[in-house]
Parts: sequence; structure tokens; C-alpha cells
Amino acid sequence: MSALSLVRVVRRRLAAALREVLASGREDDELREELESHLAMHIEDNLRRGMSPDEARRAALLAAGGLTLAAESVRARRGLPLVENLARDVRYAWRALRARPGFAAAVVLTLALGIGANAAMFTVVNAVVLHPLPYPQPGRVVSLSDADNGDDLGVMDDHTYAVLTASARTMQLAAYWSDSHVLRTRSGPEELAGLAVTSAYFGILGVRPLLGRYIDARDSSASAPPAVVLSEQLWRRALDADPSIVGRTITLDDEAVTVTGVMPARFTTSTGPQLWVPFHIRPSPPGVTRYWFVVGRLRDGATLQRAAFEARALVSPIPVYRPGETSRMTPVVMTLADRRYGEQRKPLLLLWGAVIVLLLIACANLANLTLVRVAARQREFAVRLALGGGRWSLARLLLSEALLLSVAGAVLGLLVSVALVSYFVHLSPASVGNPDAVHLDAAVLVFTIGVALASAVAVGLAPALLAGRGDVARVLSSGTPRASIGGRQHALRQALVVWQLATALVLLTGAGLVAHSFWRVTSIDLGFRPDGLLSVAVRLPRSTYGGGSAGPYHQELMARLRRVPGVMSVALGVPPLSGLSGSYSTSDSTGHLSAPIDEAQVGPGFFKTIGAHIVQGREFDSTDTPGTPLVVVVNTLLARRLFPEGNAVGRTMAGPSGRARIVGVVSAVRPQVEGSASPLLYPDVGQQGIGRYEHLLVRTGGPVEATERAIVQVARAIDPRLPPPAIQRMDQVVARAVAPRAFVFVLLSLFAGVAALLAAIGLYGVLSRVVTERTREIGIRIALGADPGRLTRAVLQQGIVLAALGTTLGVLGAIAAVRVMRSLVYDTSVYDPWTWAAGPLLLVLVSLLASYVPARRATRVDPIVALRQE
Amino acid sequence: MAEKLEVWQGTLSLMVLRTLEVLGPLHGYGIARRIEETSGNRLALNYGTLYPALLKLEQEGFIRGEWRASENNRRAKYYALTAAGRKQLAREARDWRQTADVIAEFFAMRPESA
Repeated sequence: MSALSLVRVVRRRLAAALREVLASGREDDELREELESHLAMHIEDNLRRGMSPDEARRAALLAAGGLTLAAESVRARRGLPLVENLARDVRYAWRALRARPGFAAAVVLTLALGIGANAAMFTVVNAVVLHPLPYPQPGRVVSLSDADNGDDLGVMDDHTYAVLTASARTMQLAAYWSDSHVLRTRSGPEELAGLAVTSAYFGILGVRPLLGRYIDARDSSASAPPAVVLSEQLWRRALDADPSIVGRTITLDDEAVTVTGVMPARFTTSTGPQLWVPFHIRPSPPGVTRYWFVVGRLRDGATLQRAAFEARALVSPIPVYRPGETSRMTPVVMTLADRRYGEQRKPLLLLWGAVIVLLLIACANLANLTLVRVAARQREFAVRLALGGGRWSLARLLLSEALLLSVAGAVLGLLVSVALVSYFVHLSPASVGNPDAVHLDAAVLVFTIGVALASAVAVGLAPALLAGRGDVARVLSSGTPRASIGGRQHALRQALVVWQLATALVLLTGAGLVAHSFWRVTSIDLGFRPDGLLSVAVRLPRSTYGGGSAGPYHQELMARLRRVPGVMSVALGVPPLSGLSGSYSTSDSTGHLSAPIDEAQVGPGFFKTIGAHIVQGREFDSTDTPGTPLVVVVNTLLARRLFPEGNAVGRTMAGPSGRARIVGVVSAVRPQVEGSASPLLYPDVGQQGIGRYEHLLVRTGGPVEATERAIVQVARAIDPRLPPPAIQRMDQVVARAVAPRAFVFVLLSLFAGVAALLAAIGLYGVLSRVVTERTREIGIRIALGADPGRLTRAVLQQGIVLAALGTTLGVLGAIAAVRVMRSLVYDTSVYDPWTWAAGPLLLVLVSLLASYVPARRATRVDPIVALRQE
Repeated sequence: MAEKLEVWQGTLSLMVLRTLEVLGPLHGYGIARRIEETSGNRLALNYGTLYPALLKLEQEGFIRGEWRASENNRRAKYYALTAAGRKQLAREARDWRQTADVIAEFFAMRPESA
């Protein structure tokens, strides 16, 4: 065909397709009329040849046997086949589904749950794993730190930083430190989280400011006027989104500071830093090491490996002292995304995998359900085939039905996913990375559509392939409305059920391990009682509390808090789980440094307040003052280290500010929920000097919320110029610390439970089918006096065989899969006997239950009804 | 019923065009009848292939369809050859003759005596 005629044909077809869309009814009518006139002329001819009217008609119809096919083939030729067919198939499918609303509802709901769970997990994975950082070329933004004998500190010492900034060619570096500032606003003073950043910081992250400019080299000299960059969130909330804010001054920490710019909202989060100030790095005095956070951007052509190699080569290891060993600090270079979300990634990927498996199990159930429908509709299909409907069009009809169902499932599923995601954020904000960034976006929509299409194929494919296989003549001649489609289909359904049971067991095993770990974590003895314990952060500005007036303020605050109803005790000290302890080394006469000892300064009544156990001696009290000899308290681990023979109380040791007498030994308090306790020294904060930044611990026996309000009121009454202190409930701190585990535990248990349920439903479906298909046979047997108990056992036996197969395969699968769990369990072996016993047991029990119901039904078959069915 | 020949793929359009050239406008049934008669009833014409073929020819512009009253006052769609159809028929007839000649040469071959 020449190019010209091709164009002509295409144009005609397009016109025909258009007409088709506008008036498909009319075109169809025309075709039908043409075929009808054909038939009529044939009948007339036959009559002329002397046939009887009946004969004439039959002969003509016989000759026109392929008319349906002709009609379809003509339609296919006339329109744009794809669009045209799709619309028609969907119409047919809709009609077919409306005839079976129960089936359709079951499928749509199952899919909505499966797709919804998938969309929700993908939303989180998309935010945390795929798009973790709001910076251009995020893969080239790196985070640097020191590792002490392989133990990553998360921060870098100033010496290493100086060496790398001066000499590294593979990357550009910036340092920052988090601090907090008091902003004077109309509604009163407000404490805000901020970052002090070196001049290269913003350039490295590469986000353009919304207004003005960010902090750069102009602000780095000590003589530059004080500058601040605000977040868009803060600018809108506290400064009414003033468009002329750049160049104006605001009052920060009682100082006038010039606003140089505003960063867009996506640069930070609602809980992240709200303002940035210049960080002037001054050389540390000899013997002092300072640490800060370090970020960098790889220069063009450099790779992460080369940057890490260069850093290790440039930095000569720094010796660090430890009892009996000399360790070496080495620089660590990793992507910032790994630093921030590396820990969240693995559990998320695990849950994502689990939820995909869950969807597969759901699809297997639906495929099973559709196969039953195919068997029930065998006659309908046979009639369609006999009338000349093509096998392909039959398969297409089934696929269209599946597609329609999965699209409905996807729409509902998106609603489910929105609810699930907000539940995720509620359950464990830390697990979802940046909660602000976790939302439905184009990527999630595309993913959901993909999942819906894939499940449509999964659900519709096997039935579509099988539908065309039936022997038309046999089905039509058998006369039963529900002919069996034969052994091949039954074997397929059994294989699906065995696979479902096996996969469910793998999920159950994972959930069991996570559940056991969670139970272990929540039953950890932290060494203190978090319930009813509040930690209050008090920050006093230098301007009004500079010259030693911080102590009287804290004493006054404590005295007033003790009078608040419900408050049982109040003490100064470092809150447990805060990570705020320090460390010190002492040098002997030869100048040799001792191994560092961790220390946390606390005040009188601290151990009683947090609920720690005093093993020996006493804690600090009002008799310990700056004027009396230095006293310290040690924990049991430090006591054992210093005085292995016992009796630490009364002995003296080198404290952070001179020799001190040990007055008490306390039980160890864990520094983190999942970290083991280490030797710790408690100096008396009263003797060391109370500073402007301190924490108060308050134990209350009354309602916690009322106590929180009372603390804010008391603080305002003492000094209304101060921002309200930041109060944390220790029970919530503990809950937040275990939330990521709770997240994995709750979700994996949920997914595994649903998977087991779906597998049981699948098993039930297969056995029910067996009973239904054999109703006639069973009826005859019962009529002939068969023992109903034997029939029950026969069906049960089938169920047990399937369950046993599934469980065996599942145990094998779990053995292969359990390796990925190793980093996700706590104080639990991945071969935990409880888990490995409980999973299979649960599955077998559920399977027995699922088999028992159809087995019972077999015995209740009424022979008369069964035989009359046909 | 004696075994009938199947209509070869591609030859049906040639038969339709030639039938219309000789007999003038005809409806689908008439075309089918005439083709079967011309073949001495040796050809079995599958109606399922005739109408799609007619539509294809109409879309390619070789024939034109028109609703008219038939000889016994029944509405039927009559097809007529267009100018393009005439040219196409000439082209196809030439191709067909050439093919037939070539095939005939093959049957005319005799085994050569060595």
C-alpha cells in the first residue's frame, strides 16, 4: 500500500472512529440491518427453491453461523479498535459484575485493603528511602563524623575538621551546631530551635532562599553585624509574612539582629530548626577538643568512595585513652540521607516487602474466587463460544472485569492509604522520617495505578487463560448449570492455597520475632520510673542571669514547685535518656591522662525523684554545699571498676574538679532504652556551680497535664520575660524511643494476621468448592447409607494435607528469609523457639477451623435435594 | 455435501471487485451468491469474512455503499465500484495473471533427461 493510500485509510478510520464514539448505536444498527437483510434474502431464495418456511429459515441461519463473529470483526475494523473495544468490554464487565454484587463487593474490599496498605507503605518509602532530602542532587550531600574504634560518634572533632577543610579536594565542607534562641514576639518570648552554621553551609545544601540571601562569607568575620536567616514557617507565624523583612532587625536573645533572608518551608520541618545564625569557629584552647556536626558536598567527578579514602588519608589518627587500650579515631564519610534515615530504611523496606506479599496473597484469593466464578459461568462462556464469540474476546471480558474491580479497589485503597499514613505518623513519627514530607503525590498515584493494573492481571489472567479451554460440546451437553472445569483448574487452586499458607507462615514468623523483641524492649528495667516524671529544661539568658544569679533562680523555682499540689519531689540534674552526660579525664603528676569517665551533675533528691535505687550510702542533701568537702555518687558499675573489692562508700577518688569522697552507690540507669548502662559518676551540681542551662526533674502524683500547666505558671510568675520552659513527660520519651519498634511490631503483626486470615479463607474456598462439586456424589453416598463421619474426615483430610504442605514450605521459606531479621530483633534469637512453635501451630489451627466448616457441610447434604439439582 | 474449496486470503477482494465490474451495483447477499455461482459452487464463502472484506474495500475507497430498495422492495445496502476500484482491479488482475503465469511455468517443467 502506498504512503498516500495509507494516509487515506487512516483518515477514514479516524473519521469512522469519531462517528463511532458520537453515534455508536446508529452504526451498530446499520450493520445489524445489513446482516438481517442478508438473512432475509437468503430465506426468500430458499423458499423459492421450494423449502418449507421452517427449513428455509434453519438453512439460512446455519449458513450465517458466523454472523456474530462477522459483526465483531466488522466492528473491530471500523473503529479505533483499542478505544472502541475497551469501552465495550468495560460496559460488558460492568453488566456482568452488577449481576453479582456480593462477589464484586468482596473483591473490591479485599483489593482496597491490599492496595491501600501498599500505597501507604509506598508513601512512606517514597519519602524516606527514595526522596529523603529536599536538596538538589541529594546523593552528593555527605555527612562526616569521627569513628572511635568503629563506633560512629555522629560528630567530628575540630582538629579533623580543620585539616579536611584546608586540604580535601573531593568535597567542600561546612560545620554546624544546634542551639536555641529566644525570640521576642507580640505574644511574649518564645524559645526556638536554631542552627549556628559556617558560611559554606547553605551553598553546600544548595537551596535558594525565598527572600534575601542566606548566610555566606560576608557574615563569617567576627566584626560582621549579627545576622539571622529565618524559616518560612517562622516568618509566616511570628512575623506575619512581612515581605520587607530582609534588612530589618528582630530581637533575638535580647539582642538586635538583622534578618538577611528567609528559607523556603521545604528546607526544614515543623519540628526542625526555625532560624540560622553565623557560626564563628575559634581555635580551641590546648587540651580541649570540641565537636560539631559536619556536612559536605562532593565536588564534580568525586565519588563517595574517593572522598572517604581521601579523608582517611589526610587525617592522622588521634590517640584516645581507654583502660588497657589505645584506640584510634578515623573519619567517616556517608551520604546525609544515610545518616538521617539509614536506621529507618531497613524496617521500612521489610514492611514494604511484607505488604507486597500480602497483596499477592490477596490476589491469589481473588484469582481463586474468579476461578470459581469461571467454573460457575462455564455454560455462559460455552454459549458465547458456540455463537461465534472469539476466545480472545472472552479472555478480554474476564480481564476487563478484573480491571474494573481493581480500579474500584484502587480508588477505595487510596482513601485507606491516607488513613493508614496518618496512623503511621501517629504511631511513630520517627519511623516515617520527616512527617511533613509524607503525603500523597504523583509518584504515589503512579505506583497505586501500577499496583492496581498488576493485580488486575494477577486476578484475571489465570481465569482468562482457562476460560477458553473448556470443551464447548461437553459443557453444553452435560446440562448442569455448574459444570466442573476439570482437574487442571483444581490443581491450580490447590497450589495457590499451599503457596498462600506458606507465605503467611513466613510473615507470621517475622511478626513473631518482632513481637518477642518488642516485648523484651518494653520489659527492660531502665533503672528509673518514667511514669509521673517530668523533665523541665530551663534556659536563662546571659543578660539578666549572668553573674551567678542562676543558682538563686533555680532554688526559687524548685521551692515554689514543691508547693504545687500533687508534686512529690523536685531536683536538679541531667534527665535520664537525654544523652546529656559529659566526660572528663584527669592527669597525674607526669601529665598522663586517665581513661575518660562519664559524668552527670545532679542535685539533692535527684535519685529519689527519678525513682532510682540507692544501693549503699546516701544521695546528696542540703548539707552538701559549695563550702563543704567535695562529694560524689557513683553507679554500681563505676564502683565495681574503681573498687573491685567493694565498699566504695567513704573512699575518695579523682573527680572532675579535684579529689572527692564517695557518699553513695546507686543502681545503673540506662543511657538509652536499648543501650546497656556504663560506669557513671554523679558530681553534686550545687558544689560544681549551678549554670544558666539546667534541667529540673519533677515527680508528680497528680494529673500530669495539670502539673505541666502549673510549672509554666510558676515559671512565668518568677520571671515573665522568660519563654515558657520546655517540658517533657518521661513516659512519652520512653514511648518515643520504642515507637519505631512498636511501628514494625504493630504493622508486621497486622500484615501477618491478615495474611493468615486470607490464606485460611483461601483454604476454606477450595474445600467448599470440593464439597459443592461433589454434592451429587455425596448425596448418593448418603442415600446408600454412607457414614457421615467418614465423609467429614475425607474433606478434613484434604484440608490437613494442604495445611501440612503449606506449613512445611512456610518453615523452609522462613528459614531462608529469617536472615534479614537479624538486625531487627532485640535480645531475641532469630530461631526463637516460641516464635517457631507458635507460627506453625497458629496456622495449623486456623487451617483446621477453615477445613472443618465445609467438612461439616458435606454431612448435611440432603440426598433428595442433591439429586434433584440436575 | 461435497468438499468445498476455501477462499484464499486476498483473492476475495479481487472476486468482489470483478463481480461488481461485470454486474454493476449489488448487495452483500447478491455478491456472495454470484461468487458461489461463478465458481460453480466449488467455493464456500464464509459470510464472516465477506462483510469485513466489503467494509475494508469501502474504507480503502475502492467500492461505495448505498442503501436502496432491492428487487423485491427490501432495503439493502448496494455496493458499486469506484474509479479507484477500477484501477485497483486492473492492478490486481495484472498481478494475478503474472502469478498464474509463473505458477503455470512451474507446472510446465519436465524432468530433464541427463
